[in-house]
Amino acid sequence: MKRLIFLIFCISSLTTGVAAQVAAIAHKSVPIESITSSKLFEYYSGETRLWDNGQPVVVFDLEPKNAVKDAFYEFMGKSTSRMKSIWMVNMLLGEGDPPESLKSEEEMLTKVASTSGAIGFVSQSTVTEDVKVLAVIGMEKGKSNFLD
Amino acid sequence: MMRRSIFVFVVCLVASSSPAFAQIGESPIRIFGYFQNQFKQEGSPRADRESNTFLLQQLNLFFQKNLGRNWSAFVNFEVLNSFSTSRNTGALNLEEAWIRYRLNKKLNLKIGLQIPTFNHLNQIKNRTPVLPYIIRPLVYETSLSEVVPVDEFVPARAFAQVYGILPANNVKVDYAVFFGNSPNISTQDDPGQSGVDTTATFLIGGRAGVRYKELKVGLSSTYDKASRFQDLASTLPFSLSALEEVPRIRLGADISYTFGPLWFQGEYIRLEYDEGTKLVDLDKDFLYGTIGWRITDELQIYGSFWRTRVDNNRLVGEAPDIEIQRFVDATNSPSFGVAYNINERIVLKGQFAHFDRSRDNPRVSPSPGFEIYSLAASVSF
Repeated sequence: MKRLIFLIFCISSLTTGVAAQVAAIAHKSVPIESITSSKLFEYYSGETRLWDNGQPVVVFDLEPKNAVKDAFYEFMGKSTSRMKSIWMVNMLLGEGDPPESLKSEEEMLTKVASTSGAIGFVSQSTVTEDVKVLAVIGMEKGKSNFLD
Repeated sequence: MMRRSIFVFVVCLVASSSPAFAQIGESPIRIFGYFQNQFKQEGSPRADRESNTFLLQQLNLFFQKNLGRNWSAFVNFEVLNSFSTSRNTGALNLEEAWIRYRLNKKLNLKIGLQIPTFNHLNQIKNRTPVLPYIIRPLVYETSLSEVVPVDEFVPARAFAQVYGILPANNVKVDYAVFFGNSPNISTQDDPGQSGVDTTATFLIGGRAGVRYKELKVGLSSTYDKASRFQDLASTLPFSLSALEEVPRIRLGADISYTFGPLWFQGEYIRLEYDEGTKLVDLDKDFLYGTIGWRITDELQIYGSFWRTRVDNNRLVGEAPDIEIQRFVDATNSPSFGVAYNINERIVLKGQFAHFDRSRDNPRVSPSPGFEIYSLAASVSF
């Protein structure tokens, strides 16, 4: 019995140790190296639409509802449904369009890498050198850290 | 020959117009909108009256175009209550047609026919896909505008507005200042041009709000002069010039807060008329509060309470022995509802509302209360 409990403890420790992370990514032309949750929300809510160098901000969303998407929006203090509601209000008031929803993380990487001023998110394990990583977000609630 | 020249000129003009207007940052025109179909069962236990109605409660059609990096244009047509000219039902309104210049988030200028910012709900009152309600808090229920003076409680139209968001540490301050007509607009029944402000006064108003995370609070106000009481003045046996143009102040306060799956919204509106006489009283109050619970991303339920209080005046008798009876008309309305998003475009809704009406003058017979059970589907396209 003690061995079984020890085994469960080891497995759970291992699982926690390799907890997946989400990366907020951007096109290499974007004039910042890191980002805070409040700034990220400003770009995703359409409050701020230009980078400091005057380049338009292009935001992308992921179509499938999954843990990566949930963690990304939770990092901004919003649920995915709350974000959708904000985009819908903006659209119906003529204040701006919702972000383009992409079908997969692969498509997100390709789009962000090829669109000037773009910002998006993927699992950190899928990040390539074609994009800039602005923040790394822990998948567990409340855990997040930033890359300098 | 002349006709041919004009034809060639027009063809050339049309052919050359598209590239001429395709400036950098322009986008193709976007057409989108939404509609809400409703089934409503209305009954009055005391009056033994009941009605069942299927209704196209509302349809809005938007046209939007970005006209360069900072400019965009927006047009909003609204159709209410199964509009039909042949059946003489409902209404068709051009609600908005404006152009906006956006310098940055701190400064936006919107010019043209528009719905001004006032309290929490005024601008989005007609955007049914983002509201859980079928019957909105009473003064925002546009489909009842034929029976409730919705334009009196809240400013329905403005023609110029400056607005923006000013960040201050963790708090954001949002502001809006707008101008428009007084409510004294000539109609087709009046001589001369319709749609013209018949006074030399303006509507001026604004809102100042603070946002901190999911908490939003704000104060709103407008000032204008109303002449809609001329009918009342003309029936009096004595001259009451004070009612020709009555200065009016609207005061509003709003609060909204989201805490996890729970959300709360509340508003208060006070209409203060400077009647210039003690013979009549025209002031009005409205408040509502709604508590909602988002059970899942798709499903939410809510409970809401609305209260209107209207100072009313009724003329009794015949000249010269006319008596003005003053009384307070109060309506209390508890309401409960559910909204379910089938997907991002379709929302199913159900709502119950009870309207309890009372008058404080025993000489004025009270209006019976009534109840509404309603089902609706809100579809955006």
